[in-house]
Formats: sequence, structure tokens, C-alpha cells
Amino acid sequence: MNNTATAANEIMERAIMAAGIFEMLDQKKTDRIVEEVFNAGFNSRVRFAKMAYEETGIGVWEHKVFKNVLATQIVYENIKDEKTVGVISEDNLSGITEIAQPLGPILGIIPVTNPTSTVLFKIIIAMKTRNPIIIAPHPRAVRCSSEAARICYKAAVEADAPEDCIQWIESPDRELTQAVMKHKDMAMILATGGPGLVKAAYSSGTPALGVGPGNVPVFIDESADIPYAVENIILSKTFDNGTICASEQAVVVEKKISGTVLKEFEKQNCYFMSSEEIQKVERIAIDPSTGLMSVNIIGKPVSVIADMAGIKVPPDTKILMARIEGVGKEYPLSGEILAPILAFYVRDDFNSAIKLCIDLNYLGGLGHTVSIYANNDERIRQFSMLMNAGRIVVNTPSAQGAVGGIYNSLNTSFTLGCGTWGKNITTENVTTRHLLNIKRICRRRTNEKWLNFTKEKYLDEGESADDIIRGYHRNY
Amino acid sequence: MEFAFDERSQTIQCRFSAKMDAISSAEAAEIFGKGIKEVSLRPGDFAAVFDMKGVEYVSSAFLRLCLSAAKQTREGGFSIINTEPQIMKVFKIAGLDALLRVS
Repeated sequence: MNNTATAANEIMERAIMAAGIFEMLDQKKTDRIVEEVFNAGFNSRVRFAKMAYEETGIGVWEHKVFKNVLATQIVYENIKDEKTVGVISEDNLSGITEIAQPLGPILGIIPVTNPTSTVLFKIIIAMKTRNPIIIAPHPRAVRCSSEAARICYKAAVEADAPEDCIQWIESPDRELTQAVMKHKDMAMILATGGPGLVKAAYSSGTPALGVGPGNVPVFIDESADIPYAVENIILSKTFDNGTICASEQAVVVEKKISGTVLKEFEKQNCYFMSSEEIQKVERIAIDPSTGLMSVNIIGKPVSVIADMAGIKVPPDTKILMARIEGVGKEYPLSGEILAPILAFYVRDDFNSAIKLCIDLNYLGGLGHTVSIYANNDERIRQFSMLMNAGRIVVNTPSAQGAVGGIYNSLNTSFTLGCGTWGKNITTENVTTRHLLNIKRICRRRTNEKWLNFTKEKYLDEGESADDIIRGYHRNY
Repeated sequence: MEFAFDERSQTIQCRFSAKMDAISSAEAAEIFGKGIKEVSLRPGDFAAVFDMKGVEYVSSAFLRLCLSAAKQTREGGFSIINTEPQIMKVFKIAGLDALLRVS
């Protein structure tokens, strides 16, 4: 056995021992651990945010504080009263009793864009469901992610959680992470990150909830309050310099309101680039070897991106706007870019605008999130029927809206299910219920229709479906 | 279905009824085939544009008609225009949007 396999085994041996002890905890003890972990994470929110910013150079540390608050306070308030241990529901009428059981060891893969908030979120939901968790930090965020895990672990153990209920891989070792992923005792992978990593999680043979990229179109309808829509889009796209994968990537408008929308973006300090400037930004925003966004611009402010591209923009510019025509490889800024760069499209009419949103949705963002600003329910319905997205956020900043708990009643989550479109098994915001094996005691409650029906009729080929159904549903 | 041929550009223009179910699509296929014969077109020598304005429903038979028509046209000479969003999505899901140049 090589060193990697030995290290993976050691981690997993500790994890399954913790899993065994976890099973003995009741709801009260579990909730106490969760509360202490929440307190510890929440009280370190500022330090973690600063650490994350200093280590990765990505985003805005003040915004990372709010992410840490979301991942602790808002997640905690969302789940604290849930039953997650033992009998969680009992229905005498149906005779079904549901019993919650932990999954077992979970691997939490952490993205560089949210390196402490995602750790806090995954640990809190793992503790609430009595699952040991192993945190695998991003190589560029090992220190801050490990520190967040360490603080949570200390608090958990002080609240009588099992030893090794939280572990973390301190050295950025891809092989070790993959060995842990594939380990026979690994129960579930919660993978948040780039497409390669999410694919590796799904290919490991271990059940996985993996969340990959988004490419969020935002349609501003003629019925929308335009200044409000623009203000909210800016609030979302500039949050942590655009690092949330649910943030807007392209604004789509009909021609008749395009001038008003464009002026409103300009009025609110967004800068529309010329064709030459767009080309310069494309060169630094896209990695030519992959065709995807360059890691060098993720979470960078406008001033840095402008310097990198060699363009001059007003000093208070919030977002670089790129008016482009099409979607696809020939239009590099039509894909996902986790930075304050926003594509802007104008189409002749509503149908053309919706078709463009479908194209953007299909360009690497299937299943994730789409956004609409409208005060016309029929338009919202038409848009929603055609988009393949787990979350269709309405009149809401999409980055903050998609994670739930602030602008709507979605479960607060840093792992956003993308359905089968994104190779996920759920379109929901991943939360505690996805980390439980639910057993069902099924007491005898007989189906009277079945018992009273003459079964011999099934053997008679002359009996049609209509005859059978009529007899089956007969009132006695 | 309406069939028109522009001799100068060697392009067929087709328009369809709102519901292109199996029966309408079979009729359309027949008209398309006859139309090609009448104007003496040989496979690979012409272009075709299917104008989908007003079409709200398409069946599998219609997709087959599109594929068959696209095979008969010159390379890159087939396109589908003016789709309603829900019709465009059918072609997207079927993975035919790029091949049939749907817009």
C-alpha cells in the first residue's frame, strides 16, 4: 500500500469511528453541538473573512464576512429546529413512521471563491445530521479553510461531539483527496468547485452532490422597474467581486427599453466598453487553453481588471459592461466569468430575448440559476417554463437570492443543486435532508380496493382496462 | 404548408401551419418532395429555409422532415427561422439546433 492509500485509510478509519459514536447521540446532544459550532464559526466570521481574502486575493473581505454570516447564522436559523435524529415524523393515518439515520463520512470539497463560508456551511449541516466530515480545501485556500475547520472542530468536541467528527486535509494533495473520495467507507461527497473536480467526484463511485458552473442570464422585462432592476443586479454582481456562481453573467433586454436600461447602468456607474476594449478584456478574462474564465481575474475588482487589460475606465466604475451580439466560443464574454464583467444583449422582441436566454442557459449553466425582473406574472411564467434552472429568481439579486434565506424562503445553502442538467440528483438547495438516510416503518394499512377486487379478472384476457378500472373503483 | 422557390438564390422557402403533428408533417413532407421535383432540383444544389412563424407544436415527424430536408440541401444551406421559444427549445433538447441552424 502506498503512502497516499495509507493516509486515506487513516483518515477514513478515524471518520468511521466518529460515525459510530455519532449514531448514539440524541437530538438534544446533536443540537447542542450544532449550536456551539454555529457560535464558534459566527464569532470568527471577520477573522475568517480576512484570512480568506489575504490568502486567495479574491473578492472583498467585508463581503466575505456576510458570506460567513449567511453560512452560520442564517443556515443555523434555517435548520436549528429540524428533527434530524431518530423518529422525525409519524403519521397514524398512513401508518408511516420516518426515522432519520446519518449517511456516514462526508467529504466536503471547498472552492477557492468561498473558502471559509462553504466550510462553515458544510460542517454545520454535517453536524446537524450526525455525519463526520472531512474538509478538502482548495490548494490556494488551505490555511483559511483548515483554520475554519479547526475552530469548528474545537467547538464541536467541547460540546461532546465524537473525536475526529471533523477532519481536514491540510496539504493540498490532489491524490489524497481522490483516494479519500474513492474510499469504500466514504458515504457522500459534497463537491463545490470547477467542472473538473465535480466530474472527478461523480466518477469516484461514491454518491455525490456536485455543483458546477452557472451562466446566469438576467432578463429585464419592459414591465420591470428599471432603476430598481439595475440597482439589484449591481448589488449582486459586485458582491465579493462577482465570485458567487449564481451571480448574473448576461443582461438581456428588448430593444424598446434597451436605451433606458443602458443609460440606467451608466447612471449607476457601470462602464460600457468599446469593441476594442471588449477585445482587450477578452484576452485577459479567458484562458485560451480551456476557453473558460482565467483564474487570474476571478474575484478581482474592476480597477485591477482594467489595468490587466490595459483599458482606462472611470475610477468609480462598478461593472465592466460588454455589449455583444452572440453566444458561444466566438463570443468569449458570453460564458461564466466570476468577476465584475457583465455581457449586455439587446433583442428585437420578447421571444427573441427568451431564445437568447435559452442559449445562455445552455452555454455551461444548465440547471443552475436564472433571473428575471418583471411585474407581469404571465411573462415570469413564460420565462420560467422555458429555462432549465433549479432556481428562477424574480426581482431579486441572483447571487444572494439563489443561496436562499435573505430574499426568499429557499433553504440557505452554499451547494446549489442543478438537477440532471448539471449531472445532479436534485435541483434543490442542498441542506440537511440531503444528508440523511430516511428509513420508513410501514405499518399494515390495507388497500381495500385491492382486497375487495376479484383478482381472477386480471387473468381473463377479455377484460379490458376500462372494465378492470370500473370494477376496481366500485363503491361498496 | 406553403412551398416557394426563389430561382435566383436557388432557395426554397417553406411556411407551416400552427400544429405540425404527424399528419400535417406527412403532408408537408409530400409537398416538399413534390416541390423539389417540380422545380427540377437535384440534392445538394439548393438551399432551404423553414420559416416557423406561428408554429406552436411540432411532432417527431416534423423533426424527421427537417433532417431529411437538411440532407438534401447544399452544405450549410438549411436553416430554420422565426421559431417560437418553446419550439426552439425542442430543437435544443434534441441536440439539433446547431446542425439545423435554428434561430
